[in-house]
This record gives sequence, C-alpha cells and structure tokens, in this order.
Amino acid sequence: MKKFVLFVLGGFMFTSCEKILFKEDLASDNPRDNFEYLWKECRDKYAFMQYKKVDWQAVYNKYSPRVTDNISKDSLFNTMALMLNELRDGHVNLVSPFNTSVYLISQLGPENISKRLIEDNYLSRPFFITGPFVHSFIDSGRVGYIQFGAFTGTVTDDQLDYMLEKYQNTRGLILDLRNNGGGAAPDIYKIMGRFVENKTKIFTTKDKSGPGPNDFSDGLESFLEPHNGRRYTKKLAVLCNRGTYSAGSYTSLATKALDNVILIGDTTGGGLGMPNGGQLPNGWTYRFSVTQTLDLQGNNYEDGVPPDIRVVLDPADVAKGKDTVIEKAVEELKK
Amino acid sequence: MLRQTIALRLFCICLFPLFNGKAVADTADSSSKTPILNRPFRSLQFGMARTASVYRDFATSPLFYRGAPTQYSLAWAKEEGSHDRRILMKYQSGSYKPKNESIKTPALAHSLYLQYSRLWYIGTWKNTDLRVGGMMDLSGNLRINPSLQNNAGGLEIFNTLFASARISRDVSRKDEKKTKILWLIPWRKLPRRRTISFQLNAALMNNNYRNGYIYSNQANITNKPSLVYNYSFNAFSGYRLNSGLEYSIFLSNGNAIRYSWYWDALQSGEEFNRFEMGHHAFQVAFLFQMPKKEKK
Repeated sequence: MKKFVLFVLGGFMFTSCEKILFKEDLASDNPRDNFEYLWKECRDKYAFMQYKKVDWQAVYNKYSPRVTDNISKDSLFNTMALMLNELRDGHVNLVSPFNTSVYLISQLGPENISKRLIEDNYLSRPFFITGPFVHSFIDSGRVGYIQFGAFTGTVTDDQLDYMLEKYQNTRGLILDLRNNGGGAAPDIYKIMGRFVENKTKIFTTKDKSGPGPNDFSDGLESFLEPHNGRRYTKKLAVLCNRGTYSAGSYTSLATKALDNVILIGDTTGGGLGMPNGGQLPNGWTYRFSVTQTLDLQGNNYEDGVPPDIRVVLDPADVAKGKDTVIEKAVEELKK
Repeated sequence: MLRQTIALRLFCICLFPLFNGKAVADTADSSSKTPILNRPFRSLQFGMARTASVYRDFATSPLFYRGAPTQYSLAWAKEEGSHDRRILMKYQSGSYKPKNESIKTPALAHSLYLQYSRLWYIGTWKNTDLRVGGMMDLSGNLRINPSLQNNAGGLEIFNTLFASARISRDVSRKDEKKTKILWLIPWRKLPRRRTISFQLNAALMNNNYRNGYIYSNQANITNKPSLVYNYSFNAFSGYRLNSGLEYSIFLSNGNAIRYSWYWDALQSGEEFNRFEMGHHAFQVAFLFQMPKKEKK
C-alpha cells in the first residue's frame, strides 16, 4: 500500500512540473536583454520599416554601444526611446513607471489652427456642445461648423441626428479635424456614414504577417455604409493639419473616395498603421504600428494624407480675426 | 521540441506496463481480470478548487503571469467496473501578475473547460486496476490586460485529444478500529469505502484557434467588428500534458467526498507568439450518487 501511494505521489510530482513544456523564464532587468528584446520585436513586427527606408541594423549599431551593464534605468529608457524615435512614428511609445516616450508628429508642420481665434470669431454665442462635438452656424447661418477634437468612441446617432437636423438647410458643413489626434475607429464610420448615399470602398488595410519586411496579409477592403436614417447630402469640407493623426488621418483618407467631400488644410500627421502593445522583460511596455493602410490607388500615406487644397494660416488673416483655412472652406462650399 | 519529445517518451514508458498488462496478469499470482473497483457509481459532482496558475503569451510579453484563481466544476460521471465515463465542465477566473513589482495593474483571465473522457478496464495488477482510454478537451481563455494597450484583450481556444491511463486502488477500511483523538477522546473508526486513483493524460492531437501574427484586433478599422479578427486554426500544434490525483471517501448514504489535485500544462507550439499555460488545482468535490435508470 505504501509503495502504491509513493508511486502515485511520485508520478504526480514528476508530471506536474510544467517546465518540461515551457520555455525558460525571460524576466530580466538586465539592460542588454531589454534593449535586444525591443529591437527584435520592432525588426520582426513594425510595419513601415521598408516604407520609411529605416536601416534597423544601422540603428542597432548606433544605440547598442550605449547600453552597458551599469547603465541607469533613466539612461536605458532614453536610449531605447531614441532608438524608437528613429521610426519617426507617432504611434510608437515606450512606457515605463517613470517616463513615456513620444514622437511629436504635429511639430513637423505649422500648427495651422488657433482655437481662441475660432472661439472668438466663429463660434457664435451660445454655441453648442453635443457630446464630443462643438458646433455652431457660421457665415451668417449659411454654413455649419463642427469641431471634433478627438475620436472618443462616444459618438452616438442621437448626437449626429441633432446636428444634421440643425444644419440641414445650410449650403455645406465643415468638419474640423485639426489637432484631432485620433482614438476610437468606430467613430469614423458613424460620422462618415452620414455623408454617403451608397456603400463606398474607402481604403485597404494589410496586416504584418511575418518577420520579413514585406510579409503582409492580403489587403482587407473597408467600406463606408450609408447610415439608415438622417444623412447630409450637400458638400462637406474636412479640415486637417499635422496634428490630425491616426483615426483623424483615416477619416481624411476616406474623404479621398467621396465625391462630395473636400479635404482642406495641411498634410495630416499620418498614423495609418494600427499600433499593437507589448511588454519587455523588465515590465516596461511599448507599442508600434503593425498594419498598413492604402488608398484606393494603392498609395501609402503613412507620413501624412495630403489635402485636396493646401491652406495654411495667413498671419495677416489671423491679425484680422480670420481663420484662413475656414475661410477657404466656406469659399469652396459656396461654389 | 526536445522537451515535447522527452515528455512523449516518458509518457509512453509510463503506458508500457498497461499494454504489457496481459502478460503480467497471466503470470503474476496477484493479477486478475476482475476489477478491484467494480461497484457501479453514477454521480453528479460539484467541485471547488483553489489553483496556482501561470501563463505566458509571447505575442505580448515574455513574462510569466501568475495567479491563484478559484475554479468551479460540475461533472457527471458513470463508473462501472469495465468502463468509466465522465463529462466535466470547469470555469476559473482570477487575476494574474508577473513577479515584477513595477507592474501594478493585474491581468484578468477567465477560463472555461469542457471535457469528455472514457476509460476501459484493462486488468488488475497487485490490487491496482489499470484503465486506459481517451479524453477530449475543449478549453478557452479570455484575458484582459489593460497595460498592453491595443493588445489588452486575449482570446484563445484549445482542443486536445488525450491518451489517458488511470491506476486505481481500493484503500477502504474494512474493519472497525478504536482509537483516541489526542490520546484522550475515544473514537470509533467505522468501516469506510475509500479509493485512490492517479490519471495521466498526454496529448495525441493538440489544436488551437489563436490570434494571427500581429495579435492586435483591427476589426474596427475595417468596420467589420469581430472578436476573432485575423485568427487562425492551427492543427497538431503544441503539446499538452495533465494529470490528476483523486482520493475519494464514500459516505454511508452512498454519496462521496473527493479530494483532488489536478495539474494541466499546455503550450501552443508556434514559433512566434507561443502561448503557455499551467494550473495546479487542489479541489474538494461532493459526489452525489445518482439513481440507476430502471430498464423497461
């Protein structure tokens, strides 16, 4: 009996060690381990290495010597952040308990917007705040102006119905996406679905599918579906600047496929790659883009969606209390 | 790969006596073709377990996440001398964290298991019943780790066909015994039916349904919401091994209490984004005897 119990317990102890199936524990605070891990993850999964002509091995050679065994956490963070910024991508971040790295795409161009100027001269009192939208009549009630600062994921049909009913008799609408840094993608479809009458293909997305720089899945087409309810059939002007990023750029890209929509302002910040999320052996987290989105002609606008009409704020206009971009949009809507 | 091979070979070695059982039974005096545990027992089993669990998903992190989730199980079992069957459903839920102290936000994981097993009596050797058979397992995890940003959600499904072997022994107290608790209080130990068994299950076929290379779900970008965007089915991928040690005490009313220690470990096998998970569960289960259906 004792032999049996010992045999059973021994057998259980022998089999119950999961280490026989698992790889070794990679948790590590060693600076070299973390640097190498991050570099390899980017090499294998970052979607724009080829498009941006980044020589990732050269980047390794540049930053690797800075990583020594006794490097401080702060310096290690800065070294890895600088390495990531070589990707020139606003969707790339390194996050530690004490710092977060960013690449400021918006600073690649003029700001091209003055919120105070708009508040003082375009948003008539009282203006309206409907969920994430700030809106008002402009041009003596002939045009509706809607400012959308972030894709919060809180856009509802009720909000859109309210606004479109209010502005149904205008000659055109302005959707101001300047400095809209993106957010929840479903908002793109909720909003833009109000400006199409037919199912419309807007762009194609490819996922990274392997470690090679050109390993991508087949393109997946995206379509705008017309909203089954109140829609706006007159002209829409979408305003953009370098701060229009990610979901803002996706929306800007979608306008290229819509005949009644015109994109005005400066080139967007881009960010047409979906960022992932991951963790390093020391627990810090990172993210970078793992997909590519192309327009209907196959153009990759990761570095920024170009406007149909490029307009930058004219200091002379600003001095007169005028937003050059809005003025151009009003002019276009009247045509 | 090497570890898988080693594990498989060890399992085969463990199984060898079973397939060789007839020869042993024919020659050993203590052998028989009548099972020691031959009393039919149909039961509905409710169990609760405290577990020590660990998982790692290389798609998002090289770190092991560890936790002690609670597990609940419901099973229907039919144990006959020659043929045992069990249908089991287990659910476990809890939070997990890596050892790294800088990580403050725990990950949550919910796991669901459905199992069907069937074992056939092979023979008895030295008062130990040997049964072999198979088990089909369908299990899935839903994990949420907010610190992983767009990769915060993880969902994977595993399907495994196991080869199973179980050894069982009757360890009943046949006669009444008199004893004293703490050398003071007289106590009569009544005859009690008790069994102990050990079961080993090794994967013959391990399949999984998991995220693709990028892991991130970008269904929202394409306006085609889906929980399983870019998922792929991977057949004969990875390996899984589990075992269970069960000690059952039968009560005078025909019901039973079972104390068990279960172990389960799996890895998904992919070169990239491999997933690994293991559980130790100490379970207490109540086995309610079900009446046998009358044949009309």
